[in-house]
Amino acid sequence: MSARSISRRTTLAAGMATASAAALTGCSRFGASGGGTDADSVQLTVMTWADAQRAADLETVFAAYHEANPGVTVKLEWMDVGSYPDKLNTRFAAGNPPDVMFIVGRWLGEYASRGALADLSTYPDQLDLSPLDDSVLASSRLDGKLYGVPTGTTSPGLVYNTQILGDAGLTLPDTDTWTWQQFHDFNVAITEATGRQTYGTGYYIPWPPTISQWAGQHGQSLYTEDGALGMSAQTLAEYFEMTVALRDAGGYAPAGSLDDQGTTVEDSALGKGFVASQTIPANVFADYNSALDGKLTLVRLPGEVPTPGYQVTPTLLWSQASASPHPEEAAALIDHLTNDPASFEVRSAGLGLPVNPQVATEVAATLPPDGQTFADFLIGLQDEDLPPYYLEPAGAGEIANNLVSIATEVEFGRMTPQQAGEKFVTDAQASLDRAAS
Amino acid sequence: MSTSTTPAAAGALAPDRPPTLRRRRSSAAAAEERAAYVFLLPWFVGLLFTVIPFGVSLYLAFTDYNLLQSPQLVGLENFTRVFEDPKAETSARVTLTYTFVAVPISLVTALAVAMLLNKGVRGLKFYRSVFYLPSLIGTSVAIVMLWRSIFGYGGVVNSFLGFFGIEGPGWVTDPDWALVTLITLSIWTFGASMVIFLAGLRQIPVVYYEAAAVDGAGWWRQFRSITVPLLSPVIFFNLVLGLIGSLQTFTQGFVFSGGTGGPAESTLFFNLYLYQQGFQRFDMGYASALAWVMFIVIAFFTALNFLVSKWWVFYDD
Amino acid sequence: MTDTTLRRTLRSATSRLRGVEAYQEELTGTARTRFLRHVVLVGVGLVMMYPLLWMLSASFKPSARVFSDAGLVPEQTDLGNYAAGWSALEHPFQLYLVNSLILAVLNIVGNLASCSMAAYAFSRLRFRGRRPFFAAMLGTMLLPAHVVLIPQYVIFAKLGWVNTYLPLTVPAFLATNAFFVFLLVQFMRALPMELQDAARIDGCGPYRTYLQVIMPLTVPAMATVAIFTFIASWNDFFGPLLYLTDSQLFTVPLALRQFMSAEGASDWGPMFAMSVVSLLPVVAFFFIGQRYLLNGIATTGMK
Repeated sequence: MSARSISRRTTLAAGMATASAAALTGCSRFGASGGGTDADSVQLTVMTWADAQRAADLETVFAAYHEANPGVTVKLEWMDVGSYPDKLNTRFAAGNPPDVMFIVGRWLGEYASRGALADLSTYPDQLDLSPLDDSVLASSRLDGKLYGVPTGTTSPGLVYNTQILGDAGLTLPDTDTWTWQQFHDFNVAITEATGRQTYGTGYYIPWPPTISQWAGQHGQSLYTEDGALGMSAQTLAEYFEMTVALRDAGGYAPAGSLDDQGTTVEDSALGKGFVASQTIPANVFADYNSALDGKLTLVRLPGEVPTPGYQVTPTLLWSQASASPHPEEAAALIDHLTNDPASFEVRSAGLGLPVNPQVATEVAATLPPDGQTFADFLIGLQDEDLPPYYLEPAGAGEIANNLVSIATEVEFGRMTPQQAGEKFVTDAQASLDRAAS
Repeated sequence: MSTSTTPAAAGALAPDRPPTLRRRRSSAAAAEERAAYVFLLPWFVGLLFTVIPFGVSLYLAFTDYNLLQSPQLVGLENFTRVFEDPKAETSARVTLTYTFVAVPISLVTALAVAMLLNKGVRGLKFYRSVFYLPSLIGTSVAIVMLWRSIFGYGGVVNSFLGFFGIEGPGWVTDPDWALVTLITLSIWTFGASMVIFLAGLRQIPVVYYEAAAVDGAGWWRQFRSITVPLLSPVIFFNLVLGLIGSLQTFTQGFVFSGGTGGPAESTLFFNLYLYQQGFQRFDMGYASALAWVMFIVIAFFTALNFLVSKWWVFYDD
Repeated sequence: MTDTTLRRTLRSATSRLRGVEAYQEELTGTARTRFLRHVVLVGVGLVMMYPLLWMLSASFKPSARVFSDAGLVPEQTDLGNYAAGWSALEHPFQLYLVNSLILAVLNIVGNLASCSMAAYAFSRLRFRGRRPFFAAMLGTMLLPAHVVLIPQYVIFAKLGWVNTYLPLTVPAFLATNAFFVFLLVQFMRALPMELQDAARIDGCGPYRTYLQVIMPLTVPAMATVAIFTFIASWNDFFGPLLYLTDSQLFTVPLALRQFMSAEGASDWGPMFAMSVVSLLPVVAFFFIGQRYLLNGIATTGMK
């Protein structure tokens, strides 16, 4: 944890301690809630997942927003990511959803196709979409309606522990153009050089962005533009063959040694120095690097030229409930979170590079070094010829879960890559059919 | 003999021992009935919060309900699906395996430790608290991280095994071992049933054992002829509630696998699967049907338990 | 002086001097088996305690070393975790402790009053519909909670109770927890019926019998209910998660989750420190309550 965040957190805590003592006298544990706001002021509820730091940052943004727009109070409800879907779904089901919320691209299809979310293109006076590149919005569109605005953009990246590489006397090849074969050889070399103390890589095999990229390199895509499965059993089987070969050669950590539920950096195989590399969403590079005392370097996933298959995708989406009683105010808030550089002052690029190019330029100029690394990484990618990225259809969440299960079967040799590829296609088709019915 | 005060002297499904005193005036009976309803008044009001949701979920089991739109009646479709769903079958198998391994082992452990403690041990309070502590702490984030760290590939358990030259598996990542690890965890919390056993054992008068010892009965004889029959109502109580709790296992599987039931569906408990259907797949109609199938299965096991209890559980009355 | 009275006198003298347990221990087995018994108990105890000791030791380590430093005795201790954890979240930690305590106390009071009333009716009074009602009560234990979650939430939302403690406390006052009703029914059934008959002859109605005969005799059972309720309420995560939205109302389990960071550096040290703090009330409650649990039963057993 950096000194900067500790001091900020401590001041915040001290401030809140006095504030909460005062607030509690007015806040009732048993009576009607929300008595603190004025009757003529609109209260918007925003639901996100976060940690204490990110939540404090958002609170700052919302407090400033209230200063500028006294008619609107924003109430933030935040929790850890594991609890978020349960609470969100319960509130949707009870007809009591938050006005504005985080949605993951993988869930968007479910909510959008069932009318739970508002079409954000219908509030041109509040939410200005004109500065945004349409390719960025494409993955939030369904039947011509826009169901979310990205909080920012990101892409998958690989991080290597430079200290391990240095100790092993190894240098990364040109990672802007490296091939899967080079990746294979390099990781095997790490394992051998460290005498199996550290394995070359432990990247998360069933992570959809990696697989999506693999599909792109084979001229396919995980999902097609009209929400069908776009990846063949053969392509996925080859992906698994690649991982099995890497593991057999020692470049990948042994079966069962990686705990994919280790939800934090320190606890991960990378954090413990058990593996030298791992895939991450590039926007969290700064967090990872601070947890590893600045030992990490961010590089591209291998990609055979001329089709590297790289995708720049929304990190998360700001969506608005169709049941929101204050749709215009909610849309205006999303506008603020998207187009107003001031709203990024404390948030920085933690949720991805801003999608408004002008804001992105402004924010990128003020980023700390690790954030700068991420911004450069992403801007560098955007110069390439990127394949389009489509909305993930309803059922994508379950498909991602099945992928985890199938990858484990392959990991322990209970399924051949070929069988895994076929099972994936069969199950995925069933999930899509059921979700569409 | 004083076993009549055994805390958990469970009886037939409904307690219907007739009051021994015959009442001549029916007005007394009427007064008693009125009093009963007064005592049950909170419970009747509370039914609002239990019976209505029950009814709603039963109704939903016959509908297609995706949480976001109003439910549509579909007849028995959800129920026929339950029996054609391979994942429902997998999860039923996981749940039954877990139940039929974990419940007996933790009951036997709890009973064994309770008997050991009942021998009159210096520091009884201390031991009792130590054994009960794990049952107090719930399944917080800290506890889960702790277990993952202990059972991880490079965790304490494998270091210990490595000491003997054994290379341990990934206890939480290997599909062949994850359920074993969860069963171990459930045995770790045997303290709750141990406390109840201990209470029951303390009711058995020492004279019985002394008399048996005079007759030359050995340890096993004493256990079979005195301890088991006199403790049977308590054993029964722990068995019934252990079975219900175990068949409904959710939190352990959920927290341990991050909600996926992994690795490779090896900890996909039935309750976890129906949760996935309802909250992750937005198929609350099907989830409700799964829940009601489960309800019937648990009710069946519970009823069976009560039925069989007539042959092995002994009551003082 | 007969042999038995001598023994009795000796026994009471010894037990007064050295404690009943020590005396009982000497009665059972040789020195060697007694020693072995303690070896087994200590061994099992260590295995049981290891994870908790691990957590205690983790609470003294710096966050970065929580997982890499495997030893139980931390090579460097960081007492600051407790200070840091206490003020790391939006509110000082005592607020969450007080909130959890309020909920726990209300749930205990509610369960003790309402469940014992229902159990008294089911076990001791005759009325029409007793069997079906009892079966229905048992039945409410058997349905998975997740499918009733949403209908329940809708009811509480309609009542305007969301973001108050009402959904988390009112049901306890309405005997909705069948486990406790069942438990108390079992305890009350075991009480000799003659007591009640005697009370009736003395002119006690059902109300006085409940208050003056049944309640005092079921102290151990009530202690069990109180302890189990405390544990369940204190550890409940899902209920507060669903129903509470103001962070000033948050409970300890919700607060502990806030130390988690989905990506990046989590404050492990402070989190384990606060986890230890949050365990203390439960442990203390059990230590106080266990006196009533077992000794209580033993005493009433000697009728």
